Amino acid sequence: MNRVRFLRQRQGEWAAFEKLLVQLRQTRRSKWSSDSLGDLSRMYRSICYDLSLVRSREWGDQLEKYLNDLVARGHNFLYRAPPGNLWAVVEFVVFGFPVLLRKRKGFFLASLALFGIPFVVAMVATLIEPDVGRYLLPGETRDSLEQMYATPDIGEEGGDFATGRSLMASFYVFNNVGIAFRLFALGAFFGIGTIHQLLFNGLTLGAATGHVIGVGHGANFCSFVISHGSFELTALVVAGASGLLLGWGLIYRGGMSAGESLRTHAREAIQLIAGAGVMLGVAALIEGFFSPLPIPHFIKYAVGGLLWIVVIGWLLLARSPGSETR
Amino acid sequence: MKSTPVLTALTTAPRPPRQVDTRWTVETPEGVDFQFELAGPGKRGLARVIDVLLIITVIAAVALAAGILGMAGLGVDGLSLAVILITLFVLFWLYPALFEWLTGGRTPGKMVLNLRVVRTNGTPIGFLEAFGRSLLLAADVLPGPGTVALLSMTCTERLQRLGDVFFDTMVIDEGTGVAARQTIIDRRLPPLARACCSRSFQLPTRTLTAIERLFERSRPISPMRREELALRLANPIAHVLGYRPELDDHALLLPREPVGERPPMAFPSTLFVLRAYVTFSPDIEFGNPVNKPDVNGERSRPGDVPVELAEEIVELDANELKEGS
Repeated sequence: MNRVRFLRQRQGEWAAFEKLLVQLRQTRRSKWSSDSLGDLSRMYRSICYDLSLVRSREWGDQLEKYLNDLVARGHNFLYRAPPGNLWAVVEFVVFGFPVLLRKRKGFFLASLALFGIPFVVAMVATLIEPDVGRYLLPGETRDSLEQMYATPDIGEEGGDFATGRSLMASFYVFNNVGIAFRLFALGAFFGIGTIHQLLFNGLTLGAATGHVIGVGHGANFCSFVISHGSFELTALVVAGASGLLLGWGLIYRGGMSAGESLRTHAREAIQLIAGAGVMLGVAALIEGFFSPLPIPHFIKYAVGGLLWIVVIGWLLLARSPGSETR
Repeated sequence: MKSTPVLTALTTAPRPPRQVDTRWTVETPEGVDFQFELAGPGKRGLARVIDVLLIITVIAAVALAAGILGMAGLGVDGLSLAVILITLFVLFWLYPALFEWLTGGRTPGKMVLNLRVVRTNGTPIGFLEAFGRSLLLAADVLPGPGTVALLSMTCTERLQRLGDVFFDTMVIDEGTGVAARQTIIDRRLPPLARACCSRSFQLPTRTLTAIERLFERSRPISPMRREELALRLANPIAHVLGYRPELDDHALLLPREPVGERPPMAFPSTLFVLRAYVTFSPDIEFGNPVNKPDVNGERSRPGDVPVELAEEIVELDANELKEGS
């Protein structure tokens, strides 16, 4: 076959391929017909063959590049991950996430230590010596904390119940999920950013807790925090773990190539932070709508305790339904 | 000593031959290689600027709507503040993720500039990649706009920012497609007549390809140098064809009116080679002839060559001819 005959014979199909590609890109996935998809993949394969033919016979750079572009576009269209469905997402959050977290429990424990130790130290230090709290927290923060937990109805912003609560819930999403995402992202610098944020958050929150308890609002504070704390504090530690895991991929390779190690760790880390994000969403709903309810403290302690058991039990025990048979 | 990935990458990693252009080769499962054009920091930065402007516009619009509701006496109550906060959160953290996930790798800024995020194996990205890149944007913009991203892009072969490095993606430029790579050969040149060729009247494809390469638009060759190279082709071609210039009406003629008074004599080999190409290469168009200006500012000028050549010829002084070789 010479070049002229080749061009005459094949150019019709190239044009058809281009047209079909544009057409499929413009229509919804659900409306693709199996015929046109079959045509596309058949034409794609023959264009791949055309490209290698043109290359081996050196039939011109221009032609080669044109076919190269066609192959690139076809490849990008045909080889894609199967579309995710809602059930897969739910399954991941409920089952896959705890399993992954248990696989990486070392990072969770490290994150817990980095957050928990400064938290406890700052809290105890503030309780013993209130000056520590004054050193760690700015004046306005202390004032607003004292004001906030002075009465049992916390987070009440005036207005009617529903709007005030949804405002607070959305604020918690904005603030807490932002903190969690930052914990993840800063892990990209060998985990140093994450470690710094964990220590810093631990110190501040510990000092705040110590301060509020120290000025005598302990009961209001603890009954408020206990319910959503189950999801919120755990999720923050998980977010820290994801940042550490991300950074660890830069340092440790474990029998993989450098790039592969980086990618494997990053893939697990992003799944952890996604799970943590969902947990923080749940926490924001609890914090916005349940925690500030004007009900006796013992009910809040009971519900909060139950939530802690649920969270811990879920993270420790959940496994995907399919894996039980193994 | 136990080596870490970073150390290895910095010191001992066996490097493939250093890539000198911005193309990246991917192999398909069909066993065929093809190339992507990578997008550089300029275009990607511009795309980001467009995205940020869009984000600011949306925030301003939402805030304005809330303000108007407030003035209308409905009050900016908790609910509309909640909407603003959620909007802010989504725009800050999830804007690139949602767009890149749902549109196959393109934010509005990338759509404007014809960029697309793909995996390094050329396949479209999924949700996890889009989400991860989106979150790592927070690290890439430290300590100022795009600083870390720029550093990372200069250190990686595929011009990847941190988000790309961790999630194995790259940004490709789909705007510099066939158009920028087309040759600059005008088919309106007078073909060689059968009468002025005393031997065979055909040329091997490889010769035609060689001519094609000489006139690729992306190849910056000066007219002088091109003439030198064309001379090397012109002599054997003339020999094979048995070309007899005295029988050729069009010998050394340009297809358009010569500009000015001077006869366009400077590049005979270039012209001859081009005419040989036009004569023996099949006159078949493929692909979409793209006449719009390219995004990177390069003018698209299919078919304008003779004018351009003519101008160059006319502009050429005798001095330049002496110095140029």
